[in-house]
Amino acid sequence: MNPQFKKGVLEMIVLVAVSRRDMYGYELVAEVSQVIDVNEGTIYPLLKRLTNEHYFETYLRESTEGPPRKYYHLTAAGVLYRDQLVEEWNEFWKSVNGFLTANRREEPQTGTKHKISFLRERMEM
Amino acid sequence: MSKDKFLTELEQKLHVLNEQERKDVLEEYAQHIDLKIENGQSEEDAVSDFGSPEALAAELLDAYHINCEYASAGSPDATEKKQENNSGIGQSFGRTVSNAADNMRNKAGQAAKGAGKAVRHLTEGTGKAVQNTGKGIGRICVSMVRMMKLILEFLLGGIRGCGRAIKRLCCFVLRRPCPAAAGSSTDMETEEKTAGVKAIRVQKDTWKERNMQRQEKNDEDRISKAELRLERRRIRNEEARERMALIEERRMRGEMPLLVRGVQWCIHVIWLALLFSWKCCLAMVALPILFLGLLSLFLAGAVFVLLMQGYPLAGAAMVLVGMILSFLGTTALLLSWVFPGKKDQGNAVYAGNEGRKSGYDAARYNAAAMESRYNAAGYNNAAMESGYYEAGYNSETAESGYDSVRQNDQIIKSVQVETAFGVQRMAEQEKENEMPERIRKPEETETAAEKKRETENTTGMRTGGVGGIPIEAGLAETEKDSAVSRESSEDTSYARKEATEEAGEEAELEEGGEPV
Repeated sequence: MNPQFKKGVLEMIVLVAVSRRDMYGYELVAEVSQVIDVNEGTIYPLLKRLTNEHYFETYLRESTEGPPRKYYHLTAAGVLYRDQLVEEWNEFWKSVNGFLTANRREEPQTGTKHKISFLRERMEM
Repeated sequence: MSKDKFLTELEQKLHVLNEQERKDVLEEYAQHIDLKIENGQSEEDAVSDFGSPEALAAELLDAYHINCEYASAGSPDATEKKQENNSGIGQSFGRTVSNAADNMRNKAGQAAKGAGKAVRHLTEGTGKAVQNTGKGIGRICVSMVRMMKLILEFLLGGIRGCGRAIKRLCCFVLRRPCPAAAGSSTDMETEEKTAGVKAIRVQKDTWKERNMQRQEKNDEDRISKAELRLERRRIRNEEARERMALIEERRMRGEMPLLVRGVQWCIHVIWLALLFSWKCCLAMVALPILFLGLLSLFLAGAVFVLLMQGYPLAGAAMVLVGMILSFLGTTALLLSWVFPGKKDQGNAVYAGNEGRKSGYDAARYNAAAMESRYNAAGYNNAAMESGYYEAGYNSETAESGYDSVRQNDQIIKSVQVETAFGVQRMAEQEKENEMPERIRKPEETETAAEKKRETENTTGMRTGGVGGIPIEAGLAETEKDSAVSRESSEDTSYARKEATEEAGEEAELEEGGEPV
C-alpha cells in the first residue's frame, strides 16, 4: 500500500480506535494492524505526540500478567480533533471517489464548448 | 539486535528528555516487546519490527518538538520540552490555558504517583525480602532435616545390623538354632517393619499430598516463573521420595545402597575381629587346660600302678581321675566354642544366599515387568496400527459407500430413463400439445441438450436413438408419472389431456426454474 495513504489516515484511525475503547500500546497496535499494515515503531511516537498535544491522557492500570499498563484515553480536545479529521476524510474520500467513478473519457477540446463542458462537469460533481 | 541493546541505544538518544519521560517511554517499549515475545515472536523479530532506534528517537523527539540535531549534539542541558503549538491564536490560547492546568494536574498526579510508587516499592521490597529470607530459612531447615534423616537412616541401619549380629552371637553362644532359618525370620521381621514403614510413609504421603494440594492452590495465584520453580522443586521432592522408596525396597530384598553397605561391611569386619580375638582367648585358655588334663591323665596312670602295688593312694587316684574329667571336659567345651559347628555358619551363609537370590528374583521380576511394559507398548503400537487399519478400512468403506451412492445414483437415473421410456408413449400424445410451447422458449432446448448429455454420460446406453425432448419430458415428469398414470386409469381422454396440459405447463415452469 502507498505509504503516503497510510501516513495520512493513521492518526485518524488511532483517534477513532481509542475513542471506542481505552487501550494500551500493544492492544492499539493490534487494532490498527487490522485496518492497515503499520510499522509498530511509528505508533508510539504518534501516541506521544498526541499525548503531548493533549488529545490523549494516560493512566496506569494494573494487569494480571506483568507490570501495570499505560492506557490511553481520549480527551475532549481529542474528540473534537477526531471529528474534524473524520469530516475532512469523508470530504476527501467523496471528491476522490467521484473523480474516479466518472466514466466519461475526456477529449481534448478547445474554445467555449470546452469551458462550458468543464464547468458542467464541475457542477455535477 | 537484542532487547537490552535496543533499549540502551534508545535511552542514549533520548537523553535530552527528563528522567521520568525517558523512563516512561522505555518502559512502554519494554512492555511491548515482552508482550510480543509472550505471543510467540522471537526477541530479534520483536525488536526489528520497530525499525532503527535512531529513526524512532527522531520521531519521539519530534513529538516533543525538540530539534533532533540539538539532541544528537549531546548537550546535557535541559531544554524546554513543551513549546507552544502555533496553529491559530484562539487554539493556542485555549491550549495554553489547558496546558497550564494539565501541567499542574499532571505534576501533582505524577508526584502522587511517584510517592505511591515509592511506598509500594518499599513495602514490596521489604515484603519480598522477608519472604525470601523465610524461604531461605525454610530451605535450610528442609535440607538440614533431610541430612538428619539420612544420618538417622545410617545409624539405624548400622544399629539394626549390629542388633542382628548380636542376636546371631547369642544364638551361637547358646548353641540354639536361630528361631527358624535366619532368612525367613528376618523376612518376617522385615516385612513387618516395611509394613510399618509403609504405613508411616502412606501417612507421610497423604500429608505430603495435602501439602502439595495446598501448594498447588497457592501456585495458581502466583506468577508463571514462580510456578515453574515450585514445579521443579516438587519434581525433585518426588524424585527424592522415589529414591528413598527404592532404597527401602532394596533393603527389604537384602540389598543395600553402597554407602550403607560400606558401613555395614566395616561393622562386619569389626565383628569378625572381635570374634577372632575372643576365639584366640578361648584357645589360649584351652591349651594349658589341655596340658593339665593330659598331665593329670599321666599322674592318674602312675598312681593307679602304685595303687596296684599296694600303696595307699586311692584318694589321690580319685582326685586325679576327677581332674582328668574336668580338664578334658573344659578343653572340649572351649574347643567347641573356638570351632563352632558348620550348621550355624551354614545358616548365616544360607540367609545371605537367600537374600541375594531374592535380589536376583526381584531383578528378574523387574526385567519381566519391563518386558511387559514393552509388550504393552508394543500392544499399544499394535492397537494404533490396527486403529490405522481400521481407519483405512473405514476409508475404504467410505469409498465403497461413495461407490454405492454412485451406484444408487446410476440406478436412479436408469430408473428415470426407464420410466421415461415407459412414459414415452404417453408423452407422444402430449408432444403435440407441448411442442408449440417448447418452440416459444428457445432456452429450454439447451437445457434439454444438457440433460440428454448427462443421461448419456451416466448410463451410457440406449439414449442414442431416442429424441432428446421426450427423455427430457420423461425426466422432468417422473414426479408427475405417478399422477398421470393414476389419473389415466380413471379419467376420460379429455380430462387426461387437460391434466397433461397443466402438467406440461408446470413442467415448463419447473424446467425454467431448475437445471437438472
